[in-house]
Amino acid sequence: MTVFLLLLFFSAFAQEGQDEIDFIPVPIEEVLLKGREVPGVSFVYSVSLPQGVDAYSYALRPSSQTNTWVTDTLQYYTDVKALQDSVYSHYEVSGDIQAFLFDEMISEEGLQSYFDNLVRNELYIIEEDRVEDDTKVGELIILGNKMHFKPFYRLKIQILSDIRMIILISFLAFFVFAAIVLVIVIFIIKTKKRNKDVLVKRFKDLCYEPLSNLLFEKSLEEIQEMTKGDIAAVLPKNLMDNSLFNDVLIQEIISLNKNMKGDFKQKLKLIYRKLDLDKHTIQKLSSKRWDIITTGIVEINEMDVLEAEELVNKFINHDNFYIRSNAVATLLNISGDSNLKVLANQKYPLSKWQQMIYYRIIRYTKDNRNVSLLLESENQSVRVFGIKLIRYLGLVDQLEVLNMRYAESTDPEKIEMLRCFNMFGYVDSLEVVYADLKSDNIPLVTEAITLIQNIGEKISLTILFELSQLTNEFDIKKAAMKAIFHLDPIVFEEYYGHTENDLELRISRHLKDPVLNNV
Amino acid sequence: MYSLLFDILIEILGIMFLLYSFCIIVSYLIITVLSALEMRDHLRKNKFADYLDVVTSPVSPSISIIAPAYNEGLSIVQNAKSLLTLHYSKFEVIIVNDGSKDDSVEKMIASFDLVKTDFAFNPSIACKEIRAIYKSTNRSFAKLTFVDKENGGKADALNAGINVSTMDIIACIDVDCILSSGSLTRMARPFMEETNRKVIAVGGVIGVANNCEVKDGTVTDYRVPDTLLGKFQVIEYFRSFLMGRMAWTRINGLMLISGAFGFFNREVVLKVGGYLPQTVGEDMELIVRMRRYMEEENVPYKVGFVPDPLCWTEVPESEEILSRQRNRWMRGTIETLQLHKKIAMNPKYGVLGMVSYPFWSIYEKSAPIMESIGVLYTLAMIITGDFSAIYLVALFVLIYFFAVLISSFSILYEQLAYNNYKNKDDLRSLLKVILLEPFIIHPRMVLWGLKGHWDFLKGKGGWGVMIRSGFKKAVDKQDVDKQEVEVSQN
Repeated sequence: MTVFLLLLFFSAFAQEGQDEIDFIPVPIEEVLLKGREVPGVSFVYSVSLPQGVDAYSYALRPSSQTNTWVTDTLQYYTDVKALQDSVYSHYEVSGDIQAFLFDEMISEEGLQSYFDNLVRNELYIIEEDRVEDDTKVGELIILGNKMHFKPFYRLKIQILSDIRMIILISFLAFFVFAAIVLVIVIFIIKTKKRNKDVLVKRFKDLCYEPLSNLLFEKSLEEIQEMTKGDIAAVLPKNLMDNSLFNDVLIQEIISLNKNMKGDFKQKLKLIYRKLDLDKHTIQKLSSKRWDIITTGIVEINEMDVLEAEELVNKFINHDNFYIRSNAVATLLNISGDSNLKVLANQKYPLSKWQQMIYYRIIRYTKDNRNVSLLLESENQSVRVFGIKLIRYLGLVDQLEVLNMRYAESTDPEKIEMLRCFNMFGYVDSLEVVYADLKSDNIPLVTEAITLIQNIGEKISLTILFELSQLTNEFDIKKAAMKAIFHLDPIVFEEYYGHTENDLELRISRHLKDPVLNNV
Repeated sequence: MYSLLFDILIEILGIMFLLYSFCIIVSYLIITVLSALEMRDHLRKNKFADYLDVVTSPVSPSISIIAPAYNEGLSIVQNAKSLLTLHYSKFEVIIVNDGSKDDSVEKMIASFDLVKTDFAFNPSIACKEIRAIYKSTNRSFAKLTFVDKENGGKADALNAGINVSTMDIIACIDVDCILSSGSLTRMARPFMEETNRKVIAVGGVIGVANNCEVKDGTVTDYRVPDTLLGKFQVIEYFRSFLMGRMAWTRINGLMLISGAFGFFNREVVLKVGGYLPQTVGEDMELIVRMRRYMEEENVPYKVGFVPDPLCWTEVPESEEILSRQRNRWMRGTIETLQLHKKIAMNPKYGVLGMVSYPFWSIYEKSAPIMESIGVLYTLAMIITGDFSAIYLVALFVLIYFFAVLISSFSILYEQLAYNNYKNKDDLRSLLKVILLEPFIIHPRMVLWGLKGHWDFLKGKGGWGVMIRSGFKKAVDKQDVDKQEVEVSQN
């Protein structure tokens, strides 16, 4: 709609502008009096003559009105004017000339307006009067030859008077500007990247040998006794203040640290400290770029910079996912937080990615962790993760806690608890689990059925059979039938052996198929 | 009088074309900037990701890979083996034989010790009759399920696979695609990372495998194809994946995930009723329907995109096959937009309705028509003598250099981000194609696009009445399935 209005505006504006600049109206009468015909225009002359006058000789005929004589339709205004003059000279009555446009009566203004349109649209070309004096023509030609050629339409005027051209030039200018900016930006980025890659490669080569020498030729004690200057002496001195060199050095140390064990790890951490690289790392936490802050946090984690704990703590509820995730992971690693407070106090929901990282860290220190605080968290995703940890880490001692909490838990928590109970084959009472079979939450019901399948009792068979008869959900029906089949194949045969229900028949055949035992 | 009207019409058309060109230029410049920002963020994020953990972690989502196959007897066994060796713990491979007329079934049975089973599944999505479901008696192939069904087309085969699948995420791929061993871990990441929104689908980049060296199921040496059309498609894929889709991901407006390599949340796919086999653009249609469903249910969601090179496929190098492909893509686009016309400029559908849909309508669907009218307009100008050479040259220069600029940027992005094409001769030949493309290949693309429009108008391939009336709600597809079942029963 806006575009349409813009178009209308532009087109109207363009038209209006052209009218004002190019068009000078010519009175139609001037043209008609020169004996010229205007297409579509005709005239009728009418005059009232005394009674008894015979005006047939003037090519007039009587009209329906009394004493009024009219002509036929005439094309030339000069003919009508001549007739008017003749009648006047004879009868001293001038009469009226009426103009017609396409046989419709038209006023003088209308006729002029029509004529203006014809001229404006070049449908009527006004012929110039012929120069009568041939001698003057020759003089004009001579005069013309003496003048320099000056085109009426100059290119500049033509371009600027064309609205399309103005818009196009604006677009072109905009495009060229934008393209140049983009090309410059890309060129700068590419050059910077190439230079950085070259420098990083060079710095890596410069670091590798001195670091290896320190690691393999010096003992831990010897390195402990060395000063910053001693260590820096084996490295390129002029580069020690270079930020990129320090970054490369840290990355090399971290990389070696990941692949080494025992004393070597300690040596690397010592070198890192002695060279004040920890300060360089901590500085990164004040950056405005999220990736630099995250790099700093990862370095603190890898090099166990314990004194940075407070600084990292500020980031555990940061709105950037990567800063937040790595800050929590780092604190889990370096803080010795046995109660996992840092996790329990998470404001944002835990994503699966975060759970994966935290699980990897907690797995190696599970003996020092107490996950029960996670179950108290106000954050549901943290509570669910806590229950998952009980299952993944095999924390059987926490099952009693889960049992107590089960009835009041939310559905996602219950699903995880049921998986826990299922894994350890333990639940205080199946009554609460039976209650969940009535839930609308399909995953919850199927998990409950899976648990009953493993630790169910005789009454479970009846409950599951009723459930399988009542439900239309494929997953629930299949799980219930599978559970009955596992609990008691004879009862399964009694229940479904003669069923005519197509779905039950299909599931039954599936359960009995030996190839599909684990599907 | 008539001259005046003609002049006004010419003036309006001229300005309209200029505005259209301007909008295209501005849109693509925005896309260039957005994709650059997204690519930068992606590369930065990659520095902090340890994908090895994803392979073994109990927290990782399970994935069903569904690969439909039709007359793929020559390569089906090799491709299935390649899929079974992907690095991931919780996944299954479902190969769906879509009524092949060759020896695909026999080869699969012999190679994987398959036996017919009584596999019970929930036929929640309508599809052609499944003849048999096979599983292997060899434990090494426990992850493999082979479905043999009546022929019904790719979308129908995928629907059958979705019915049989049991995992959290479904990965729909072309069976002849080459997947990198780490493709599942990388594609699983966006599903795992999001905290406040549900990730309903994730798309990946498709690389051109023609002429490349492949070793152990992954491309080891990147070379550009020999033919002009092949090289053109390399550039086109860069433009489409590294620029277009990255930019749309930035504003969560992605409307298309390639049917050859797309990952979906199974729960949402089932809720919307799976693929729509009646359209030739089933991949785009599914994404639009899934997004629409999430908008209608007011659930925060995201469609992700992973620009890492993880999947490669052979692209058509013959003009005949390529023209058919482009014709199909155009019809698919028109059908999808027609089916979901309700979302057009509808603020209720957010970015999808207000940005993505209009963009696709104006620049993807209407581009061949607009370009053809532009040519006719120029011809009319020449015939009537109202032809301005300066104007035409300026417009041509603008459009040509714009096309060259955008294509050059797409190659630059690839070089900056991945730098896979290291051979300088290859890069030079790609640059030559960029310069020639507007003259040699683009007119053909426009022609094939127009043919697509024409075929759509003739009702070729699609399901006329339904497509014309469109879906009132995203879940209306289930009604279509019911109607189909009733029709087939009658």
